[in-house]
Amino acid sequence: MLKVTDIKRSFGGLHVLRGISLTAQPGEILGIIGPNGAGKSTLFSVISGFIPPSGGQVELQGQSILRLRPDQVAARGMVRTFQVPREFGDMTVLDNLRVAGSSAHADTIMSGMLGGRKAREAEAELKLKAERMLERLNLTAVAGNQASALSGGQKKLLELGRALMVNPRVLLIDEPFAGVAPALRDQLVQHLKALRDEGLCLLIVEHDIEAIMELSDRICVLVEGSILIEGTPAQVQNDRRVLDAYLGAEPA
Amino acid sequence: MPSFTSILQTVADGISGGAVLALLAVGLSVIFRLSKFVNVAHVDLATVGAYATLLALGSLALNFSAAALIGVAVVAIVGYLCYRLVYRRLRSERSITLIITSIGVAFVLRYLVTFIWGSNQLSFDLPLMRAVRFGDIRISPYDLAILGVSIAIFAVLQVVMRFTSFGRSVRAVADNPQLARVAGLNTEAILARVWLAASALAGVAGILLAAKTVITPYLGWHMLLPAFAAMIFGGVGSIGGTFAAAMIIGIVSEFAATYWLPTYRLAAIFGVIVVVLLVRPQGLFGTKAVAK
Amino acid sequence: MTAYIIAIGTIGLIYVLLALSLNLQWGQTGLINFGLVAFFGIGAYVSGLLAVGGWPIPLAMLAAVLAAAAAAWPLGRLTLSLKEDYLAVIAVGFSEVVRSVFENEAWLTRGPSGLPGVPRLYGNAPDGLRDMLLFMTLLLAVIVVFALLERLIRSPFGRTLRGIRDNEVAAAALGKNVVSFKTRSLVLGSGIAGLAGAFYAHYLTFISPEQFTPDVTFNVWIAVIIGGSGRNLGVVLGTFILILFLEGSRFLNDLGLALDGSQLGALRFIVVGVALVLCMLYRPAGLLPAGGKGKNRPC
Repeated sequence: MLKVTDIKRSFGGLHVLRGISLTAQPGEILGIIGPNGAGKSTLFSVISGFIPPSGGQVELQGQSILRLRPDQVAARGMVRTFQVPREFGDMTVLDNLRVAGSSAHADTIMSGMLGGRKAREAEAELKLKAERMLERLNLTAVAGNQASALSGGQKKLLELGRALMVNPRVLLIDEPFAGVAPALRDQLVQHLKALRDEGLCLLIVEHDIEAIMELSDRICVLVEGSILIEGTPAQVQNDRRVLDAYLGAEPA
Repeated sequence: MPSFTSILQTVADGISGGAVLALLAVGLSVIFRLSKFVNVAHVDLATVGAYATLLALGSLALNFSAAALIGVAVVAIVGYLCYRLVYRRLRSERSITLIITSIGVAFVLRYLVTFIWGSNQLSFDLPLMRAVRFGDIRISPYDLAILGVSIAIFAVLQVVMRFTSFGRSVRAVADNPQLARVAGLNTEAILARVWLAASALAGVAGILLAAKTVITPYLGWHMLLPAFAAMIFGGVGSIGGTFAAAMIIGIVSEFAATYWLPTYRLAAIFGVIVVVLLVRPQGLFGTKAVAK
Repeated sequence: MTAYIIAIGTIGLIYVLLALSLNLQWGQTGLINFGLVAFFGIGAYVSGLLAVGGWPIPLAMLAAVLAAAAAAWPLGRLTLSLKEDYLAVIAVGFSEVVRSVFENEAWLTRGPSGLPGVPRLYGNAPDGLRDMLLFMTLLLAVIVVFALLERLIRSPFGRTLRGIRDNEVAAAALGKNVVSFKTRSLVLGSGIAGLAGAFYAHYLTFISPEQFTPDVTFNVWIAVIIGGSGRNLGVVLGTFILILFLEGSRFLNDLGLALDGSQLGALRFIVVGVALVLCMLYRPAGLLPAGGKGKNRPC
């Protein structure tokens, strides 16, 4: 599904990514961990088209997506979320989801000004889909609130919900658990597993080692722009080098 | 095809305009670097400078140089007050808020001047002087003086920015205000001095321009787009670059006025900005990109 | 007296169209269009020139709308990839370049002395009735535009515009072609500004380049800011306040202040400038914020 080959990225003299290669399949969760500054978010930005790489290739379902704009990449089925949530602050939570879910066909001036029955039906469907998403993420209570007024954890959930409204095939999630209340954590883990079982391909960057160990089918450890080791959670957590890289992080 | 001589003459005619523009543009540029917005009212400070000098000439019966000094001092204070009373309070807002605010300030400055002096053309009534001849080229002594003043000021600026601790402090604050503060620099004092200096430079520009042409409330406003062009063309923050860019724009616009149409001077400048931004987003000498 | 009210009302409605246009571009999409007057002017000149050339007025006005909309496209291409500040100044430059075209291309536009004799709407009706009919037509047009824009705001397109306004990086990550949306918003808004220009030409019957200076753009901006960007109703209110002020200040002399014409004009602008500064200092969201609207966007 997703094939990343030898991706390099430098900023001036700083080599942030030094030749990263990985693959990910549908129905699989690939966890990406590593110390701060290892290049994890940059990797996501390069894969999803926000930053061009200095070298290497990214292929989605066999086709190169290297020269595409981020919105074109999203249209092809790969959506990313952001480490610091980028909610549409001056809109309601429900509208945040509705923006994500509207099709290119509905997003036109003609349809907006003069749309008839079909447009109304599409709107009703969209609202329903958004409301269901709110339920899944336990955000129904704040549906009508300004997105900027949500708590950090709620914003993260909204971020995830918005990405899901696009019906992605590949999802790049940047720190989904940051700031999420402990009560919601387990639910979020179950939810992500369910998405994987539905056939989604998920790449998750996370600092919460427990969660990532529980969730992932495979894990990549990124250190200073290179992949230190890749393997199953069990393999990774027992590897000496990973513990060294984290300098004292608790093994799960 | 115009003769070589007339081309050179056009260049000569454009130089003083470029020199004045450079003084305006460098203040605009420094303010943009430090306070992070395009201060639309900056060019209207030039207008204030011209009128303040006029006032000093008329009511205090001083000679021109003394009146000009007073004019510059007045502008420096006015510009600083704008910063202190208005812009500083909005420093955490988006730059569009500051731009809109500066439009309001520009209105107040420009129309206060109109209210007091009217919109007719006024002048310093400086003595007419014969043009100096260099071969077949004629240059007015005023143009030479303007060029001289501008070059002198820019030389001083370069020295200050590169070799003094004040210059280093300014660069530090421009690059990273928080870090500068943590490192012990009094960012507020630095900003205050920069605003004073930039406003003073605008005042000088206005006085020089008024000496060469006429004084109207729109004196400065007409320079907004050219000053902006010089700022991005030269690269924000590069003093030498801004000077060079302003000279080029001054000369190009003189060419447009002579060989095309005077009222298309502006279009020529606009065209220059567009081409530069498309081809080289960081300007001639700058390092920060202005295009996304 | 009625004639005076209709006169103010007509100018007011024309400004309302301009404010609605700006609200679409700035309030909904976050585009800093400081070149608005260019499209107002293009609409006026296109409709005026065509009508003088013999075209039926409705057709001329339609052409004006299309011309203004089309002219927005190059401005969009130029500015949509620039930083905010640069976009602002360049847009002003654009409108001044357009104005210098009006001034210089005398073979087309009759140059700085202006274009007289633009046919009035309802020119065949007697004076009083004619102005009333124009006002009613304009009112109808404003109501229709208002209604359509309200529909657009509640539609998926409108929501996407606001998403782009709030966080265009996120919008792109969700599959929205940001440049395409921004361009469409700019083009539609400019078309509306062109319509305002067309009405303006057929109302005043005389247009000249001096009527299309950046001051017009800034007046509309002030109306939109005072009204609280985002809500159409708010900008209508803001326009109303602006027109009231501009017209009301005419009567200042009656209060015993012996000011001449240009001083009065200058005083007006001084007050506008001060109001703008105070507005920015104390209430950037305007008088009618659209539900806690803040002007701070994470970028």
